[in-house]
Amino acid sequence: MTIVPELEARQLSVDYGAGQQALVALDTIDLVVNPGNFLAILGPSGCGKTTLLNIFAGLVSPSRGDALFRGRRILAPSAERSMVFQRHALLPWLNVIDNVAFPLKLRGEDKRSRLNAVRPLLIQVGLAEFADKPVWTLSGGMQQRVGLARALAADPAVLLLDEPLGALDAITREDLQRVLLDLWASSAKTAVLITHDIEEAVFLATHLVVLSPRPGRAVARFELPFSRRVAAGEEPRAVRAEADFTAIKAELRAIMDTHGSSGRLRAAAS
Amino acid sequence: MTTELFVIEHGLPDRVAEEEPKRRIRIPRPLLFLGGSAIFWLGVWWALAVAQVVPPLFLPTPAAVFARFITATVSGYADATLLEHAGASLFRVLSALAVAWVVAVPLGIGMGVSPAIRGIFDPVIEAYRPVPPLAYLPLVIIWFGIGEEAKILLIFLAIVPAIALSTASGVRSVPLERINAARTLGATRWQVLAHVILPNALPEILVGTRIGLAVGWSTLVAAELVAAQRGLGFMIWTASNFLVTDVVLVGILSIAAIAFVMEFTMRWLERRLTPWKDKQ
Repeated sequence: MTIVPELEARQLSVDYGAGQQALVALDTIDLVVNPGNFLAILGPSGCGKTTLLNIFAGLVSPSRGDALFRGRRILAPSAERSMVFQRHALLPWLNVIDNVAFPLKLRGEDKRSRLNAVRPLLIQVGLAEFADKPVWTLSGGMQQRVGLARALAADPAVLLLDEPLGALDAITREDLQRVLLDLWASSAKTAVLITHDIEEAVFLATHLVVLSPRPGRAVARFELPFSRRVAAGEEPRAVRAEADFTAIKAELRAIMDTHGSSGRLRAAAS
Repeated sequence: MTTELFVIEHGLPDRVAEEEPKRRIRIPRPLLFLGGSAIFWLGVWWALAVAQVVPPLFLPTPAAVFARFITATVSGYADATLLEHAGASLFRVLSALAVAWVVAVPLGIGMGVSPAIRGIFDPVIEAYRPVPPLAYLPLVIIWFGIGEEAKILLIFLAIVPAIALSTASGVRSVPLERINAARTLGATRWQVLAHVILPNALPEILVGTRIGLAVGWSTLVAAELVAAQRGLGFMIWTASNFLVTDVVLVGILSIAAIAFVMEFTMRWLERRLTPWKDKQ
């Protein structure tokens, strides 16, 4: 029996502009994300990773090749593939619980049933006592918890994470990585995270792809055990301190240096 | 010395102020400035009038104007009391505002969402917006006569650009992430419009309404220039024809007072309805 991949990119390319000024943002990407996996797409800014995520969301169409969800071409956005953004994505005129329940409102559920439905989610992300607070009064970390809970409230098959922790300070960021990992593990959903933070990618992902800067090409692929182990109950700090963990981080650092913008600058100078 | 003490008094945290036993009741500073300014300019006015630098026919004293304010309120001027004049003007400005809202908010949304709608209406609005209403008043009279509708139409025309352009800019200022997130949560295009774009534009719609109200009041006098029987603008014009300067001043101050109250009501509404504004 073969597994139908949740998400797939086949020979996928994206150009920006046309003719002489045409810029290749993504160059023949092949990717497969199986159900329940956590894929991290790691790359420097300008490598087209946001574009790739937007294609999976159905917000952008590829120039060539195909993007598939459960074997069918992705043509438009859908609640099957909910996206979490770095900022500005919440509705500031609503309080916390109404923001989280927003996807259910879109489906026409009545107020009482949608509020009841999302209370467990609020507890899970640690926002139960902030349910009635306007979201604009919350800190950045709290707002991202709201964003994660809201994406899950849509009950998607895939969570698309567009650097959701990118604007947070280091400590809040580590807290939220744990929250994110728990949500992913307990919901058994598929997740795709784009990030430029090596540590975050290694900690959270079961699979990892490194993209080179313009044009974005997949230059390395890894399978990683750490997130499943933490999900199974191991102490995150101990896992982060392991030799394997730090070795992979160093290897990724080296890969990113050879392909990164600094590497290119060196090549151009010589 | 005094300046220093003053700075320290305001610069230290409240805890220190509480330890001070003889703490004065403080009037908020903006209110203090407002009161101070009113007293100062009234004083200047009064001094000029009493010294008769300008003949009393042209500049009556504040006391004379106040007396006229009382008689205009009680027995009226030009066949109507001050309240009736104010009521007629208020009716015109507010009905013009209501119609402008019904037209300009959807128009602004259309202009914000669709480049085609923007392309059609933006040049027209931008072209007539800076033209003073007095300049196109004759055209309004030729086309629509001298009835109540023509007066309201003139004020309406002055208000529409303020609300339409603010609404359009509010619609265009929605962060793309907010729209895209909603779409990946299952929102249809109409749901994005109703649940994301419209609430997002509300602060700017309210700002446009506030500006529109101010523009409406400043157009009022022009609108009541022709064939009005009532209204503050009409009262001012009539009085000026007979050189009754105190009534002119009563009219001007009444318009100023009403516009001022509305301005502050709108600001209060903005804070109440859109507390998240600028807090992103």
